[in-house]
Amino acid sequence: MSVFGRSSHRATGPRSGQTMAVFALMVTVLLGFVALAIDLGFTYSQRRFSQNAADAGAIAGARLLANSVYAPPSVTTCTPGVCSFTATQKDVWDVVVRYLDENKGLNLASASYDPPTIIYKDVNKNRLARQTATSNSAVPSTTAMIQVRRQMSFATFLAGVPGIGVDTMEVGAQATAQIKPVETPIYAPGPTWPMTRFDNDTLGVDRNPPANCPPRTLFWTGNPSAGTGTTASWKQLIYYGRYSAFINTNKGLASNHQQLLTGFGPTSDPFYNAPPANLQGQDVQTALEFWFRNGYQGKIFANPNYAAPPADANNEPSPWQQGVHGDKAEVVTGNMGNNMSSAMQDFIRNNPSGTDSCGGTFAIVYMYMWSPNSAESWVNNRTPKHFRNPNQGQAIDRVTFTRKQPFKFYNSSTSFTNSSEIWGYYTSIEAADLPPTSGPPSSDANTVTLIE
Amino acid sequence: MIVFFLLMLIVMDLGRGIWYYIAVANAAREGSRQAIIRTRTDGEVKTWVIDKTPGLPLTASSVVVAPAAPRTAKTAVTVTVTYNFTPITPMMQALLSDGSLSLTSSSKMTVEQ
Repeated sequence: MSVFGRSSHRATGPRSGQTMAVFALMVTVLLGFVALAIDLGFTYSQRRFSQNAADAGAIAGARLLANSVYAPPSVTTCTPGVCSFTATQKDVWDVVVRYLDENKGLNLASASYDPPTIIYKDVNKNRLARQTATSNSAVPSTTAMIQVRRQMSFATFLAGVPGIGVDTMEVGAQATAQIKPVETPIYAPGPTWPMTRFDNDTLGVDRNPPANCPPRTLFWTGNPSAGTGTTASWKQLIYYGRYSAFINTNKGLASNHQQLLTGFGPTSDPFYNAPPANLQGQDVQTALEFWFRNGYQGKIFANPNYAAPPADANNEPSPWQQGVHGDKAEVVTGNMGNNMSSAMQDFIRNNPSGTDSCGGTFAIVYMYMWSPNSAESWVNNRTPKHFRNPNQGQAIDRVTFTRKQPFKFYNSSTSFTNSSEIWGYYTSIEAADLPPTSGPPSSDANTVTLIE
Repeated sequence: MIVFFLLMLIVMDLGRGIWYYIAVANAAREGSRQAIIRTRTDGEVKTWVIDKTPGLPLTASSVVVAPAAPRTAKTAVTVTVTYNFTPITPMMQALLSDGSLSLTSSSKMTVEQ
């Protein structure tokens, strides 16, 4: 531009100077507008990144707490202060900071992030505590909301030039997430049923179920290599309570009919409870419900000193419905498909949840699923497979519960296609399109929503 | 020289226009982020948008929230912000039909539970 001025007005020096002055002024103004477009535009984008990060952090922190509500065994409803959180403030801090960092957008060398502010609030938005980076105390038991706020600053690109002089810009964002109990289930919390080995941590799904039926999975088959594409190797089921399958005259001492649960432990486990002197199926169920409700992947084990089955155990299966929790929990292995089918169908007849066009009368049943503990090794030369403690022969040792999930089982060939196939159908137990209820976090299930 | 100044003015006007458009787009995003909170009224959303957009002379009528509050959870809400940008360059004004350019931006999000 200056060349343009000189070449046009070589003989008029003062006018050339004027042009230079005007040019300098114009360049400054021009830079100002460019700075406006670039730096303020960039500031807006940083503001959006900050808001996204704050939203993600608040939701993640609230989700962590929602999944760690601890209810004492005797408590079925969490009134304020009765339940607490197993996650600590440090746990919340870590997850919030992680989500803030992973959603902060551009990785600016000049960016500087203030430590986040995390505030716990009760269901009425009253402030309970403010989290610091080093705090590792318990989360206030009446917490129902988490507020996350973070400020950041960055160097401007052009707005720092003389005449404008804005070297840095600051943006911040805040979000509050609330933990809310989920809607009332369609079905009352159902019974728990046989526990099944969760093979390879993968739930097999048959995407081509019978007409009018949801996707399904195969829980039992007499032919593990049948190639059904589902879960054909789910071979071992564990029964307890009155539905334990003392149907074999060997009364639990044969290789295909071993008792499993004779104790809880070891004592180093965080939720160790000494087993009662005469452990019964109902005790096991109570303990498992407690563990699952509190998010604990419990471990159980059997020792080789099998407790003798109760004297009347051999009376089953004919009086299946006598309601006596007199049996030890046990493992049922192969060659028992007929008997298990009979027991399960008997249960559905006596505990129907509803009827639909897929297979008629059904029961909603929660399935406990377990996986082998890493300490065990599979005994591959046996059918069905066992996993065992190397020091205890064929005895099944420890298992780790990994999932509890409801399924529909029909009192018909829809679930029991023949004597050795048992199908469970995926189902939702939650009512559709109902908002979560208000009030403190539930001990059963919660959802998380942004409220600010 | 006149051409030079005119070009400079046009460049500055374009800069202004781009900045206004960025501000309008950001205003719409700020608005939708607030509108997804079920307890927010339309008035609160509009006030938030105006407060969060300094330098952009918006009014309540510049911000449209659809559907109107109260909103249903899990449905979409759209916030549309409109601003009439008037260039300072006379020639630019002459090029536009009514002397200004309508800058519009929308942002859609899902209403929280």
